[in-house]
Amino acid sequence: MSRMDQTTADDVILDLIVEGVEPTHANLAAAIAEYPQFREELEEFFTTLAVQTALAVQPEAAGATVEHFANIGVSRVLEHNFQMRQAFALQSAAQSKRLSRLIQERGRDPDEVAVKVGLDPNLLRKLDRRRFRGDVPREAYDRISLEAQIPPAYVIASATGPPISSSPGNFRKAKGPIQVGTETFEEAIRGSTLSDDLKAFWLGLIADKDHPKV
Amino acid sequence: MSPRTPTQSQEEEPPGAAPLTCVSKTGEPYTRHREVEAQIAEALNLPIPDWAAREWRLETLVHLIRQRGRDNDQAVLGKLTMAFLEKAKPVVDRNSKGFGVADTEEVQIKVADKLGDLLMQAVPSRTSEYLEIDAATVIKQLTLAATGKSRPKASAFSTTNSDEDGKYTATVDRLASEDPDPAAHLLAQEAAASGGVWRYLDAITDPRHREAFILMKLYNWPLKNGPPGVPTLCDRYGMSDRQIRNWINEAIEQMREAAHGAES
Repeated sequence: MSRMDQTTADDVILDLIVEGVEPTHANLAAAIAEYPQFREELEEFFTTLAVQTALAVQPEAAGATVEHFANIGVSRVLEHNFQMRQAFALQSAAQSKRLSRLIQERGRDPDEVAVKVGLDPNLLRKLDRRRFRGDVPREAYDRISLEAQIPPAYVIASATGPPISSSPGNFRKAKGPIQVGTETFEEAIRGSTLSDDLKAFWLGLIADKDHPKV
Repeated sequence: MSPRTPTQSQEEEPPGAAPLTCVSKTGEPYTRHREVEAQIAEALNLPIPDWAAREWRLETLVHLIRQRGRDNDQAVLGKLTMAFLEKAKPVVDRNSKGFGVADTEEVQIKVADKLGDLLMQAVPSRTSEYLEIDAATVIKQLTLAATGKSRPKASAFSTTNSDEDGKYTATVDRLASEDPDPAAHLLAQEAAASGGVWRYLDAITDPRHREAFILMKLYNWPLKNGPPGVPTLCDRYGMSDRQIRNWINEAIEQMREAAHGAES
C-alpha cells in the first residue's frame, strides 16, 4: 500500500535528512524550487540544521536527565495505550447493541426520537440496520445523541458497520450469502416522507464539504 | 546502514515481523534493516517477559513496543519504551545544542511526547514507519523541529567556552573581514569542521546574531537579492542589510573577544 499520495513537509524533511543534505542556501533554494508549498517549513529546517551543525557538542547535556526524559515518553505511550483500550471497549460495547435498543434502554420510542431529530421512522430504522452506504452527516448522529441522551460514540458505533438483515429467518432460508440492500443517505432522504424543508436541510449538509461526515 | 536489497530470496527472510507499508521518495517499499528483522525474529522466539532484559537496537525496540501496545501488555510496553527513550536521549542532546536549561528541557519534553505519539500512531505514516528503519534519523528530525525559531525562546545561552590553546583566533579574525571570497567561506567551514571556529559561537549572546552569523558565514546566505521565492537574511529577520551587518559585526566582536581572552 502506497502512502505517497499526500506528501507532507515532514516527509520532505525526512528525505533531506536521509540524503544528508548540507544546510547551504543553494540547497535551500533547490528544495524550495521542488516543494514551494513547504517554503516556511524548509526555511526553518535549514536554519535549525545549520545552527545545530555549527555548534559544538556540549560536554554535558543541559535539561532533563535521561530518566526524566524517558519517563515523559513512557507516560505518553501508556496514555495512548489506555485511550486505545478505552476506545476499543467503548466500540465493542456499542457495536454489540442496536441503535433502537440503545434508545429503548433510555426509555424512549425510536419512532418518536426519529421525528424529534428531523428524520422519519423509516430513516431511523435504516440507521438501526446500518443500511447506509457511504457517509452520513455527523449532525444526524449528534441529534440522536442529544435527544436520546446517548454518548455520540455509542450512537456512531451502533449505527455503523456491516448491514444487518431485516429478518434473521432470511439467513436460515438462504442457500448462499445474503445480499442486504443498502443505499446512500442522500438516496434515502430523497425517497423519504420528510417535508421539503427537512429534505433540503439534510441534502444541504450532504453537499456541504465542510460539514463532518461519518 | 543500508536496507536489504529486493533480490534476497524468501528463504533468507527471518520469520516474524509484518512488512512495512510505506514507500520511499523513489517508490521503493520501506524495508527494515536485516539485523533488525533478525532481532525481531529472535525476540519472537523468546518468552515475552524476557524481552525487556535484552539489549535491542532502537529500531527493534520500536517494533516490539508497537506489538506490546497492540496486545495491551502494559508492563513490558513500559519497560521497552523506557529502554528506547534512554537510547534516544543522546541523539536529542546532539541536536538541541546551544539553549539554556529551561529551553533544552522544553525541547526534550516536546521530543519525548512526539516520540510517544509516533510509537503508538494507529495509522502509519512515513515518519512513524521510518522509526523501524533508522530511528536516529527520525529522532534528529523531531528534535530539529522542536528547536525551530518560534518554539523555545532561546533566551538563555551557555557561557563562552574556554580555549585551551588559542589556535583558532586567526580563523575568527579572518571571518571579521567582509570578504565575500568563497575561499574565505570554505576556510570558515573547514575551521568549523575541525572543531575550530564553532567553539566561539557560544560567545555570541544574541541567538539571532549567532544564527545570522552561521547562515551567512558558514552556509552562504545572501543578505538580500536572493533567488526569487527563497528567503534572504533580510527576509528572515525583517531587517535592513545594514542592521544585519551590524549584528554580524557584533557577533564577530564577541567571538574575537572570546578568542583573544582565551589566548591571554
